Amino acid sequence: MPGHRSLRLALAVVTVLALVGPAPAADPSGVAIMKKQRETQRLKDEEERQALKLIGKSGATKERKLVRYLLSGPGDLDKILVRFLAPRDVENTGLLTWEGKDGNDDQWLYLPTVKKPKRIAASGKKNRFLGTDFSYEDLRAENVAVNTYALVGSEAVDGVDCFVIDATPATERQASDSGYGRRRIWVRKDTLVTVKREYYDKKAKLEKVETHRKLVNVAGPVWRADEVEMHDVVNGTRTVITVEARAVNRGLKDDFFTETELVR
Amino acid sequence: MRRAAGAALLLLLVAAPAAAEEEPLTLASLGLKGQAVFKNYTSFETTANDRHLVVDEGILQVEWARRLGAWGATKLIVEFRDDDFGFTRGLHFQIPETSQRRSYLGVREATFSARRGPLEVTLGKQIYAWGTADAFNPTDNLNPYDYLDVLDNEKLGVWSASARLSLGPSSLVFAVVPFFTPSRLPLPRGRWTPPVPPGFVAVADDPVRPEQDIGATQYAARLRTTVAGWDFSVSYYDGFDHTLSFRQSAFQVAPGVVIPRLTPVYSRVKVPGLDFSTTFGKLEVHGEGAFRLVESDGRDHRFQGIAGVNYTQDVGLRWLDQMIFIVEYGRETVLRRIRHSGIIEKDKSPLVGDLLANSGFRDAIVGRIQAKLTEDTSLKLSGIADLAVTPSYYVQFKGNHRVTDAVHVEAGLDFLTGKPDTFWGRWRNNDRFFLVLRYLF
Repeated sequence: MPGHRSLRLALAVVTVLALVGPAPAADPSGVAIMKKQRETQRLKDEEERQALKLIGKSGATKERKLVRYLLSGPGDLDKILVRFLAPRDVENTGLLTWEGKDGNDDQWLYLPTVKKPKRIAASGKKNRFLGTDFSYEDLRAENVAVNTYALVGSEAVDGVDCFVIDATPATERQASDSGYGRRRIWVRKDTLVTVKREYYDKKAKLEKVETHRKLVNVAGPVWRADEVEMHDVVNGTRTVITVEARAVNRGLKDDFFTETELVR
Repeated sequence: MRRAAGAALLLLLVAAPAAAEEEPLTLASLGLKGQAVFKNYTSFETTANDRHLVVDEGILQVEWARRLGAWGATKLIVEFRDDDFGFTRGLHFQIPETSQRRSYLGVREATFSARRGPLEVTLGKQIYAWGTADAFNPTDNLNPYDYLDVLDNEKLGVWSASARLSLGPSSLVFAVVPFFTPSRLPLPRGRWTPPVPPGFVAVADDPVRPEQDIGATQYAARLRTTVAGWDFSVSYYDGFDHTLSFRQSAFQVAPGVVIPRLTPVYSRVKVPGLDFSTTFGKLEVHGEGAFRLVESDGRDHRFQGIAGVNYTQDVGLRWLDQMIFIVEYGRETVLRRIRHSGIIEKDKSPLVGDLLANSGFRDAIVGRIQAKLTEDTSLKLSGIADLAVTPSYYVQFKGNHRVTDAVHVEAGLDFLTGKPDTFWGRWRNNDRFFLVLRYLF
């Protein structure tokens, strides 16, 4: 498909030029790529219904379902409401997050049995999210303010050229809060979408590999993966998130991301 | 009433989603879900009031909930339950619930909510949950409790109307409860009713409940907001204590022979309160306080407060995922005594000691350590030390395991110690093992 190839090449050139501005030739910096990604891949709001398949070492599977709402706020800070739909024992459990500067998030957990939302310290970022192979921090958007990003090269993933970027904590707080010493991120040059991440622990040992598949163009330049797999290479477990339904930019209001909606 | 319950169940089935025609007929397709629970309590000793060592209980809870477009929602939770001790007897449907024992079939919650813009109105049998503390909530006064088993107590729903106005991060809730529902107290011939101390003689009347008229209406409001990482709320309750106070008078049994007469009454109180919670790094800090101002049938104006911290340590080992630590301190202070109320001072009555006390948080330290071993298994050690008057203690060790997403098992031990006339010590013969099996559908 030579036509497609030249289109991709053109896109890549345009993207790179856009990243580096008028000065030609030099590769864009890692942080410039990540900032541009954050800028171009951001939506006003999103709603996703997700099915999570947890695959154990032996191949045994468990399933979870949830709905996730996100509202982009000023200063690159999002508000996120997650409500679990299945299985029965976690049904209607809700987690509301207001992202804060320097990772100081406000977070409330609603357990239907307790019948009231409870403010929780957002300390469990390293912890596995609902027994999956994703930790809370894996599910957050990149916070470019608390990480450094170094462009370490280019590499093709599924035949598509990608920037390869190493992300490391830039602040003491992030180094302490994060479960990782380094993350390697593959960002497509044509669309600036992340397609793969490798997570290394603080001893530089590979812990997990995250792969994004079934990319769909959801609005303008914005792409999302309909399938994300996290493979814990240490424990031999996998989690596959499949997006079953998605709605974007439908005008969710700030009022939706409050205690009132969390307990509803 | 039975006929009405049958009609309601039929209505539920008829109102099942239309999609049920295309899908195989399952409980979920009918909008039904629930849980079946088996509980076993095995005490280590008999008591003067109770020779049973083992109590088994079964509960079948069925819930039907439906959203009515964007403007409303309805929910009904009914319970079928029985036990081999006699906590449950007969089939009764009461508004308000005043029976000494539970009904075989009961409505736990039944609500209809309508929403327009920032305003939501809910009618029906509701359970409210206010406050930020874990062990005890001085601002949470709308619902009575079922204390048939004191340690495994349950909040009872109240038939009420509530309105919630939400504006950004702030919300205002106003609730009206037209009927007074007392808390369900331990059965007189059960292990949770302490024996009368030797030498104590009195005539005991039946409880005097408030008349079910406009004067018994209870009101409450709560304004809550979030500012700069802090949650604040102020609340107000104008209603009754759901547990008893005792009015003392004289009873002449023979010429010249007078003994005390105790009349159980419910205090009318006004309770302005406030609570807060925030976080500092990994520490969650919360506090809650309320002024319990007696309007009638009470002895003391009191302030009840509780504050504490919650710390979570991520461990990340294969056999230990997380540790959670909670410490709270509860304190009750008498602000002013009403000298001629005739109401007994609960914790200082001669011979009776703390046997009439209804709060274990007058000077109490609460602690909990929870080890989350895996996503499915956790161990918890909790304790309350009541330091008021003479110290007494309650300690619980509990393990939870999720066998599957639908089957959960919980088991543990309860220990109660202290002198016989202290708050927890009055139940010192009630140490026990417990097992709870839960199937969710």
